[in-house]
Amino acid sequence: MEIVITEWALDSYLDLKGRTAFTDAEYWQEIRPDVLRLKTYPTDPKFTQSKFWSPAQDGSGNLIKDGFKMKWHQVGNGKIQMRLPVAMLSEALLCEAYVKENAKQEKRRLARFKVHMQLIRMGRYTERGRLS
Amino acid sequence: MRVQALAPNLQVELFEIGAQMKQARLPEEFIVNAVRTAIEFEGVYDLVKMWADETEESDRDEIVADIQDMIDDCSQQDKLEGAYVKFNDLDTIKKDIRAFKDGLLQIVAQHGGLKKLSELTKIPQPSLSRFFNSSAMPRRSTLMKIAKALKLDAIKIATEWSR
Repeated sequence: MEIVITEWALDSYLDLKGRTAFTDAEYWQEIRPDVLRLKTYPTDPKFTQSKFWSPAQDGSGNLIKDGFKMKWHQVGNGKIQMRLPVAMLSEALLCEAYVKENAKQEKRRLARFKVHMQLIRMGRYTERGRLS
Repeated sequence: MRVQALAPNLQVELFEIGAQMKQARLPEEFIVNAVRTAIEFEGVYDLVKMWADETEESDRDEIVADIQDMIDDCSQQDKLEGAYVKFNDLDTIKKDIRAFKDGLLQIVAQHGGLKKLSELTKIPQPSLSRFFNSSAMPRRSTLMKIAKALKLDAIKIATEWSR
């Protein structure tokens, strides 16, 4: 499966870098290899681990159709939890990564993801390259 | 995803929340755009509802900034392709963006600060705070509003990394 980097993903990486949410070593050794697993989705066994991969739900507990979250626990010097929403259509489109802070913030983040999913379906987004 | 128009009772609810936003002194342009976008985009509807249900001022501010971000995202009408950026270049880009925003913030401070800028641009103050605090790429539309409000020439808002 092709992995598309949307502008939302790029922008969120820039912001996370600004906040030193994760180290370069974590990016190259953990985060990037995990994201590359999408190339072999769903056969990679890590996709069966709910601590790593789960369907995205909105604040009311409704599933966001074709929306998933990739999750990392204990990354960065502050040992934060990072989330990467992914739109799983004919391609895997990386959306806005974020540091999970609390339930309220996560609800807002998933509302944003819902908007981005809708925009992707409408073909109204910016592609910033493909991960290979 | 929304497959049909928002039910009339939910649209009325949005207008009522819009009236609450006016009471909270949010810019009218923001309120109109929030309600319009929420009618079309379920995620924005969720955010507008969250704002109405929220009691903490700081959380309300974050929601306002989220809604403004989504209004801006939803204004894009087509699929676009931007240049690929390597991960190893992100640090340099981040530093360039920070230097640009810090410089612009100094100019804003000379013109009365963020509150004044919010009044002039009609962009909610929480959105402007997020704009200046984050290392995300600035939107050209936001830069243009700032330039117009502060009567800045093009060179002051020129950055390689706007989107």
